[in-house]
Amino acid sequence: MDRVDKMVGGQADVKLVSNAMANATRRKIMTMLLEGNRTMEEIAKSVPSMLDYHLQMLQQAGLIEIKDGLVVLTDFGKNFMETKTVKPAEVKTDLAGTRSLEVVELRQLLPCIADSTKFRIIARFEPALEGALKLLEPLFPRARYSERIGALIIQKGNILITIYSTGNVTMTMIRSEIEARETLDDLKRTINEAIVKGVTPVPREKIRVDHAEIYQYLPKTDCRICGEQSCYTFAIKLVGRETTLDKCTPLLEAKYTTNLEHIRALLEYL
Amino acid sequence: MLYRDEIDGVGINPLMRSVFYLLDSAPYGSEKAYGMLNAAAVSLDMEVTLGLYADGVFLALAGQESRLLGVPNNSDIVYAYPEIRVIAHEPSLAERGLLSQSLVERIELMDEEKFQEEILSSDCIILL
Repeated sequence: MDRVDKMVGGQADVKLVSNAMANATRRKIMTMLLEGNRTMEEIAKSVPSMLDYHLQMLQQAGLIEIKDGLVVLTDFGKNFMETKTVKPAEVKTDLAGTRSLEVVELRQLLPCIADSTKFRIIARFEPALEGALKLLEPLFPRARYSERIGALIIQKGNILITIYSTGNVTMTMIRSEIEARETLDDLKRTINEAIVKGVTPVPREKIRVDHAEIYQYLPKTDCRICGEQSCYTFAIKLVGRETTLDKCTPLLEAKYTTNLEHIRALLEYL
Repeated sequence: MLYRDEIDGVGINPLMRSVFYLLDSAPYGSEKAYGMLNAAAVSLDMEVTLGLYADGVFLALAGQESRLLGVPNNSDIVYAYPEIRVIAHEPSLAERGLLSQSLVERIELMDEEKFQEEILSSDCIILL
């Protein structure tokens, strides 16, 4: 228990945990240990190289202990694996205690590669939402929380918004700084209302369709017959309803019949 | 640049589907990192991985501030293009004492063997 208290206290320890878990091999070891204690030999069967190093990293982070050749999760390690948060206090079941957000910075406007008339921006919300971020997923009809990157990804039209737990926000396919500020303000308003009134889930869309999914079924020849730079750009514009499927005439070839059906089905859900 | 040949039923097609950019120099002090990030951003119709190696791992540090240098913030570009997969060579981080520092949360750490596997599994490797 002392170890748990020590672990949640220091910022340096939070970094050690975060960095320890940023490695796939160590995540695999932690998952194995969640199922039960293991000997080092048992773990070595799945992690044939650098096992000592990985165990040392997990030990330094306070996630595991080694007792008489047996590797076990610490209480802190168990808690971490169950909640995926470094601090037990960060496990949230509601937004109580979460402070209202402010947009503190809109730092950079970068041209969008797919469409040079549009931009990507990076902004910052404060305070950082940390453990509350995952709870916000039901507020948006098209959103998913990614455990892997600790971010909430929201689709709004053809704008893709990514909110990181640290407060960084990125947006793609933005027309202007004005649109960026308006989109951020909308986002802030939606989240702040939920902080005050609680999360009211909005209807979910049955199937999430994005340009990457549509791109999978396009010919990928970048022939430009449709008037776009590439098949990828064409997919983005299809999702944004800025072009129509009939412009991709190669899709009419027999070999693409199934692909065409797939795309038509996906477009039904836009 | 190396291509993996693929048979498409007609003949050999040098179709490139994945590219690995290897950054082995510090993110500021030269334009290498900035150039490589921009090159990665224009390759998004492929599977793009940016591998941070040697001094390149300094790009993984959170809280970068480049305004006083008068140059773009390269970590902003890492955040702005979530489609670019970014991996960092963990031994390089350890050698520089960076494993106890806050890192950009979306960067995946890889040990020697996995890092090499990532390089070898790409159709093409680009170094500056």
